[in-house]
Amino acid sequence: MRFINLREIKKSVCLVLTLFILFTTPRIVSGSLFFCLTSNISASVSSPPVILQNVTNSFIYTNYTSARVVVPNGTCDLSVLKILNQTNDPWKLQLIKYSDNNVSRLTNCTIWVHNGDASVQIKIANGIYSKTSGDFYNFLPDMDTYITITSLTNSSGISYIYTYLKILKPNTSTYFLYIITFELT
Amino acid sequence: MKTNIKKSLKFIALLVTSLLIASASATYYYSLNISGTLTTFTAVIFSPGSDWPSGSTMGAGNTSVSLALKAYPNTTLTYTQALKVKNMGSNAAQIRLRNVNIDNGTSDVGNFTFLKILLIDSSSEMRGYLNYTVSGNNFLLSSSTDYVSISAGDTWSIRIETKAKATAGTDISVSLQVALDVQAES
Repeated sequence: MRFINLREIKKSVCLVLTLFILFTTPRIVSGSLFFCLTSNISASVSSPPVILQNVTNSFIYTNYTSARVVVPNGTCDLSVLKILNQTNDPWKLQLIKYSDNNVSRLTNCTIWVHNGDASVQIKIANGIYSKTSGDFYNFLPDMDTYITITSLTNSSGISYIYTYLKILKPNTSTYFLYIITFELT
Repeated sequence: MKTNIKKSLKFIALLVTSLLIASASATYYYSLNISGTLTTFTAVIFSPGSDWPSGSTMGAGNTSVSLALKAYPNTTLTYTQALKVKNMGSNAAQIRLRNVNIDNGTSDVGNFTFLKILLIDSSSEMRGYLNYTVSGNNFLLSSSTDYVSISAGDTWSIRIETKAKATAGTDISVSLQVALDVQAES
């Protein structure tokens, strides 16, 4: 056939494709929005609203926001740290163990906070934890609170309990953490 | 009269093609000329979180915010939900955190340890972050800023952590600008 040759077929295909695109493209209408929400942030350094103070055997670091407490074997009900509220706001306190070393030698180690009522926060019996954190403890203005410890060991050496003192603003999830290291000899 | 069939067929084909192109063009322009009503709609907005820092302000339409954060020496201060991010649209949107600008090179910067801004989804999974750590008097940024999808009606949060150096003085401040980019279907 003279009319049907390869060239004509190609042209026809191109024509059909072109028309198909012309017909279909305008109907596929879509779009997307792009925008950005902006956040201007300023961060300022403030005095810590809660500070630590040595009572017995505690070393307080700069700005009173971290401490190392040395606890001799045989210590019983010894207040080692005082927690002072520098504001008129109430807070909540919680001691949380985040690491330790060589605690198997501890036959009894109990750490609690108190300002009247006591709240046990960390407890180890025969090298095994029965508490790695306590309940939140109400820390009201003008109500200084103490951290007190009892420690008994069954051998010589040094044990470490690394803790965070979590200080929470009531009815929010805003909190800050002080590092307190207990060194039990 | 001798009829040239080939020429006739070509002419017919040309005519049909012209008509089709004309009608296609008409369709095309018709589509472009659809009129409608344009309404302003922002699919994704901010809203104050449960840890909204005091002294912060929300901009008109909840599309901008000024946050006044604190930092304490040698302690990490965490605003678990400083800000909420809500998808008010009827479709999923793509969002990401992006650094725009931060103060750098001042002695005030050297008093900080880090500033972290994290995008947290409704399952408490971290989906992106900007982490500004300090070296000398400069903030160094590490980040994860890929677009992630927030479902229609979902609410995420922005968590912020600050820490100042142990020796930091008070009344020292830095400022930065962060964007939350949004791609949403119209």
